Formats: sequence, structure tokens, C-alpha cells
Amino acid sequence: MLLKLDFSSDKPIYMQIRDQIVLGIAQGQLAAGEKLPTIRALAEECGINMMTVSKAYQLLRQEGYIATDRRSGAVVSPRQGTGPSRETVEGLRLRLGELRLAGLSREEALDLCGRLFEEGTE
Amino acid sequence: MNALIMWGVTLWVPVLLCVLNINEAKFKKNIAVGVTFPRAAREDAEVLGLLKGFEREQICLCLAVMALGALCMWLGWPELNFLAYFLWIDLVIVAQFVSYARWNGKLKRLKRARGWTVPAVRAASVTVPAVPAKRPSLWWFAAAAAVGLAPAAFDRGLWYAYLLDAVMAFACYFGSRYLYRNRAEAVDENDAVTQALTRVRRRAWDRVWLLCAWMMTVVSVCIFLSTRLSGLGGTVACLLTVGLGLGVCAVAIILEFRVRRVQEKLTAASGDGFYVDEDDKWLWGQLYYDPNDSQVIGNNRTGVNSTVNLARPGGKVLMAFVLVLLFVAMPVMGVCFDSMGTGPEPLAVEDGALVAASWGKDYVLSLEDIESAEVIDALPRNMVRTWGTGMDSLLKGRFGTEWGNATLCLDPRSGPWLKVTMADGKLYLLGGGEMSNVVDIMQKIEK
Repeated sequence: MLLKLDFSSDKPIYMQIRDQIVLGIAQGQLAAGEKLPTIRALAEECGINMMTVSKAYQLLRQEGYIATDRRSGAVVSPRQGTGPSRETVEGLRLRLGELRLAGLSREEALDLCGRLFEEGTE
Repeated sequence: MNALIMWGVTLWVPVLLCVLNINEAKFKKNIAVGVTFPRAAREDAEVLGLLKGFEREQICLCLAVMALGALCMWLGWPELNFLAYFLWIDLVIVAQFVSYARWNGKLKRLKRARGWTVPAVRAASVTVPAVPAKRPSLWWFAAAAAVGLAPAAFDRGLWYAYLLDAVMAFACYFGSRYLYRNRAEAVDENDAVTQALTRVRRRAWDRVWLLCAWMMTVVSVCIFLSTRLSGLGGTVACLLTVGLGLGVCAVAIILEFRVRRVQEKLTAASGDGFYVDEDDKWLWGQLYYDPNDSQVIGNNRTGVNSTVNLARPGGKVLMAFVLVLLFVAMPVMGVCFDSMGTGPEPLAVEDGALVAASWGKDYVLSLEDIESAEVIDALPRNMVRTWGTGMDSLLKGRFGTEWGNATLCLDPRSGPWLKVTMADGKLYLLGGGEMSNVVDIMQKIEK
């Protein structure tokens, strides 16, 4: 899996890392139990500060996407199926609002959502 | 003779640079002459035309600088000029850099015109760094250092030479470890290709350093043999050392081309869809400049080598050091060597001391401390330089001789010379100026 970091973006780097790893897990590029690089290795790979990677990993751990322990480092957690969090629902609401403002009908928005959802199960 | 050897062993440098640059015109990791292209560019007539033009210019440039080098050699014979030699090396480097930058600029303009630019993002693999890399053990380097140091147990006189070799052999470990940027060779989203490219590069890099470590060990053994073998010992050791040096260079060059070939093959199908484009981080396609990268060391885009990040203060310092070495220190060294070529200054007795002077260093021996002195007509055979200068017209520094270790400051072409033994047992072989001068100095010492 390849991370694509945009240093000119307004989005913080740690959020870019977090989002792309979540997408990678959802789309099956990172399987449950798969090891992630150590904080040092990923920082060296990206040429960024270790604190930035640490922040991204911390966030992923808090959200339950990865688990960390001293021996095996960071690994992708198995999918829990606990339902969407309140933040996820709020985020989706915002995105759907944006789609409505972009002029999409209900069917078109659902069709788009369906296609994007399928990307993770292919 | 020294200068002739230097010309001889470096006249092939433009050929090597030419071959390396011509190889740059082949697409590796979607890059040609420092410019990243999509796959479609490999069949674009204009791109191919520019790459052919680049290749032609490299060949012309190589022939021109070699002809200039040969002309300098021919004009300077037999008193070859070191300054001209070093300036010629600088010219070779600058000429190829400028030529590369010129064609890189042309290709970049064409890329923009075709609309082949992609959003500037840093691509970083998550999968590859998750697997720990297999690197050569520290013990391989420690073993090389230990074997290199072993002769010191039998030859205490040259312990510092063996220690230096051992330290350099051990230092190779740190070279392999810290002069390398541990980064996955991501070209596109194909993880298998990224893994293969990364593994090939790491292995080649580690092999070169391990080879260098053991090369230092063999040099140490050669020094030891040269002190032990009578007759041709010194010559055999010298030939072995030179042969090994050339061998290491050859292996390094072969590895570089092998890695490039692998990169070319593995990425032959790349360039469709997403591909990594870091052109904006490479000035003139050759100098790495990325302010968003916190690391000082970076990997060259193709091949095995490493480079420095000029956006970091450490990178700037390292590059400045290299530039000063190439364009200031080397010409100054040329002037020094040319001055040394005139041989040592005439021996003199001043203020109760015997003074042997040469460029940059004086040997002042108090007459009271001189145990014995004699005029010799022949220098010891099979002298081995351990530290100092060994030129046609000047031998200066520490040498191993059949009379034991000695400090030399003399012109080997014109005797006689003075053999001076000090009260503390140190041996000096000195000479400079006319024959009558040496005899005159001898008389002064005797008085």
C-alpha cells in the first residue's frame, strides 16, 4: 500500500496518514493482523518527524483500527462491526449535504455512495 | 612518473561518466535523464529524439575531454603538470553536469508542453518498511577489522598503518548503515515491484561496503607481506593493492549497472495510472532538494548510490565540502605537487642544527643529538612508504627500509645523500642540492 502525502494541502500530515490507512484497511489493502511499519521506519520512509507518525498511530489506535504492543509494534485490528461512530455519522451527513448542494439527486447520491462502498469489498 | 600514472588511471573517467549518462537515457522507474514520464512517452517521437540527442552529445563530450586530456599529457611530457591534471578533472565533472542539466531542461519543457505533469505528492510505502530489512551483521565488518589488525602483533613498527586499515574496515559498517536512506523504492502502486526494487538496491549497497571492508583488510595484509618478503615483496604487495583497488571499483561499477538493469526490467510495464513523480525535488535532475524531507541523506533516483538533501543544513555543509574539495583543494594541491616536483631545498646547517626542508615541512636535527652521520651513494632497496610523499623528485616522510624504519627528505634522482642516526636511535636519510653541498654539510657535522 502506498501513502500519498500532499505537503501543500491544508490537511495536516498526520490526518492524511490516518485517513489513508483507514481507507487501506477498508479497501482490503491492509488485512487484519497485518503489521504496520514502526513509527521510526514510517517517519524515515516519509521523511517526516516521528511525532507526526506517532500522532497518526495514536489516533488510529484510539479509533480501534490498529492495535499496538511492545513486541509486535502496530498491527491492523480485526473488524469489529460495532456500527458507525457519532463522528462518522456527522461526517457522512456533511458529505451528503455537499452532494445535494452539488446538484445530485437522491438516486445519484446513493448510486455514488454504493459504488464507493463497493470499492472496499472488491 | 607519478603524474603519468595519475593521467593513465583517470583518462577512462570521462568514458565511465559517458556510459553512465548514456544509460540514463533508458527508462528506469519511469525516469529518463532525470525526468519522470508516463508510459506513453516511451513511444513519443520527440522524447526519443531528445534522448538520442543527449546520447550523441555525451559521446562527443567524452571524445573532446579525452582528446584534451591526451593533449595536456603530450604537451606536458615528461614534466607533467599536476595543476593541469586537477583542472582537467574539474572540467570533466562540470562539462558532464552542464550537459546533463541542459538536456534535463529540454525534456522537462517537453513534458510540460505535453501536459504530463502530475500532482506533487510524496509517495511512501506502508507495506515494505513493515518488513524488517536483512542487513549484513556487524560481525562481518568486525571480523574484517580484526584480521586487518592482526599483522600488528607481528610487526609493531607499522602498528599505526594496520590500525588505520582496521578502523577504516570497521567504519565501512557505519557507511553501509548511515549513508543509506532506508526508503522503499516506490514507483507505482505495485507492492511486489516496490519490494523487489528495494531489496535489490539494499543488497547491492551492503555488498559494496562489505567488499570495501575486506579490501582494507587485504591492504593491511599486503603491507605486512611487503615488510616480510625480501626481493619482490614490495612490488607484489603494491601490485596486489592496486589490483584489489581496481577490483573493488570494477565490482562497484558492475553492481551499479546490474541494479540499473533490474530497475529497467522491473518497471518496464509501469507508468500507466498512478506513478511516482518527484521531478520537482531534483534540481537539474541531479541535485536533491526537498524542504519537506527531514533527512539529510537521500537515495539517487536510479542505481545504487546515495546523495544529500540540499534543503537541509547538513546537506548544504556536505555539498559545500565536496565543492571546496573539487574546485579549491584540488587545484591548490596541484600547485603544491608542482612545487614539490622541484625536489627538496638544499641541506643547510643553521643555528647548530641540520635543516632539511621541503614544501610545507622542515626537519630540524640538533647537531648535538646526532650520533653518527655518513655520506651514502646508494639508497636502500625496496623502500616502502608508510606515511608521506613518494614522488619521482621527492621522498619525504616515514619509510620502511632494509636499515629499519627511517624518515626521508631527499631527491632520489641525485645523490649522494646523508644517513643520519640520532642519539635516540632514529634514522634519517636526507639529501638536496648539489653533491658538493652534501659533502660540505657532512664536514660541518663532523666539526
